[in-house]
Amino acid sequence: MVTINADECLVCGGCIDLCPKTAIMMVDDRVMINSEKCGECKICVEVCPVSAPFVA
Amino acid sequence: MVTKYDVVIVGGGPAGLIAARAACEEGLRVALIERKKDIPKIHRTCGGAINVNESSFGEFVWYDEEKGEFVFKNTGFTIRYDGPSQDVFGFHIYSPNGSRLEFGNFPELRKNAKKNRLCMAISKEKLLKTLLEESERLGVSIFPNENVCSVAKNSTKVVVECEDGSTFKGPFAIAADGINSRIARVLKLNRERSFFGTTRDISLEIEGTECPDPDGFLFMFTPRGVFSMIPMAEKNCYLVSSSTNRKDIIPLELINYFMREDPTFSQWYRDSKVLQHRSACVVTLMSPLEKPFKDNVLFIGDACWRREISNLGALCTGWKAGKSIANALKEGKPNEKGVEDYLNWYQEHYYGPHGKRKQTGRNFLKYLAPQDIDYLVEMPKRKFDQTMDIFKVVNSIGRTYGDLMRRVYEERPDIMDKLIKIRENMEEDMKEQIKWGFRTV
Repeated sequence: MVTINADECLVCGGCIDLCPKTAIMMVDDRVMINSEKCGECKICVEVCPVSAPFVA
Repeated sequence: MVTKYDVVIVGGGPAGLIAARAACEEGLRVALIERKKDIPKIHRTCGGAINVNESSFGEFVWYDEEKGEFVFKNTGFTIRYDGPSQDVFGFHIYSPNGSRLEFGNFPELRKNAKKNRLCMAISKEKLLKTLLEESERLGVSIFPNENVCSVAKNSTKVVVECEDGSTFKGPFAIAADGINSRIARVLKLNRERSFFGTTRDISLEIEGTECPDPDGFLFMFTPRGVFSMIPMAEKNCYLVSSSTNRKDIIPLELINYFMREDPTFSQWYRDSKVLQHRSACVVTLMSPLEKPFKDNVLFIGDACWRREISNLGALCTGWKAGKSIANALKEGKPNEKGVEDYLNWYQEHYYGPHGKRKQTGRNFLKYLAPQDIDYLVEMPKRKFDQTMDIFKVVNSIGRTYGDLMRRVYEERPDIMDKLIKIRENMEEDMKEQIKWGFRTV
């Protein structure tokens, strides 16, 4: 499962924009992955400038 | 919840907010949807500057000190701004040993800063706050903390749906959702755009630098990549950024190397204080939209272009689109014909002059040694005309080095060979850059 390390995340929203499944959202100015929609493609992991998303 | 509006705007950056204001001023019922909860707060890297005193995309902006407002003369609107600012005079491009190409003689220009500045670094947060307050006062319905998941046109309306089930409808919508526009993707507009890769950027904010002339947009070529430094609004504060299009590079490590270890440029940051706020940005590099319109959705700002149109382009396209929609509805033309003036204006000032400009795959750092770049940068031995127009910079570099090639050929045939190779391998190198990227179709 892919989750986001909120301490690292800068909330730039790049992963939200690029997620092919629209599984990532901004909620209360935090980035969250909806695990039900996530296809585990890991684009968010690759694209993040600060490596905030990780595979748990 | 289903609510009807005249226009539904997705995105609360400078483009979306000014579009909301412009449409609302004409009496339209406007909804503005933004995924951030605190709309003016900046998380995504932005130069945060407004070009002044120089023509850019058909606009010529000047800052009225007395009234505290930016005047967008040609497009025809003003924006109140009385926050902090630093003056910017032009570009400097540095080679690895600290030699530079100067677009403008900063010490000379500084003597009459208000007349000679070509850009003002401003607080984007303050600008967005002003625009948001004005929009709210006029009666724009603002919906923060909403993630748009679909945009589609039925027989008469554009329907914008959010993740939480909220639905917004109107005869027109505006896509102001930024550089990686989800709406452009949903409406399948990216299929006709050329793709050039994806960059991942990170920026640190610093206070204090020993850089000799920091009041410009500075680009530094180093063996580890190209870095930039630009003034921020607050006195003595600067934004230092790194950018990479490779997946195997961590931007944060790159920028730490630049500021702490680079033999030339780390000197600038010996006593700098690194501030807490950091920002980042992922940029899908694509050709601009030829027509910023589909299914009654108008595209503005970075959603239809690339980031070089900056805040000025975001504000002008936003204002123009808002007014154009108001006009279309007044004339009873809720269709493409109704917003023709926006589309023609975009064609005249944006797509026509700049839209077909190709991104080239020239990868200087892959072929040239640091000393080769130093040699090339030291060649012209003159200052270039002051400009903040990146297209003008590229053109004058092209012209200058075109004239210098004979000398390179005679003095340094080894560098000449490398330059030829860069040209020959341009397509291959572009393919590699594309392979590293994430295409959004």
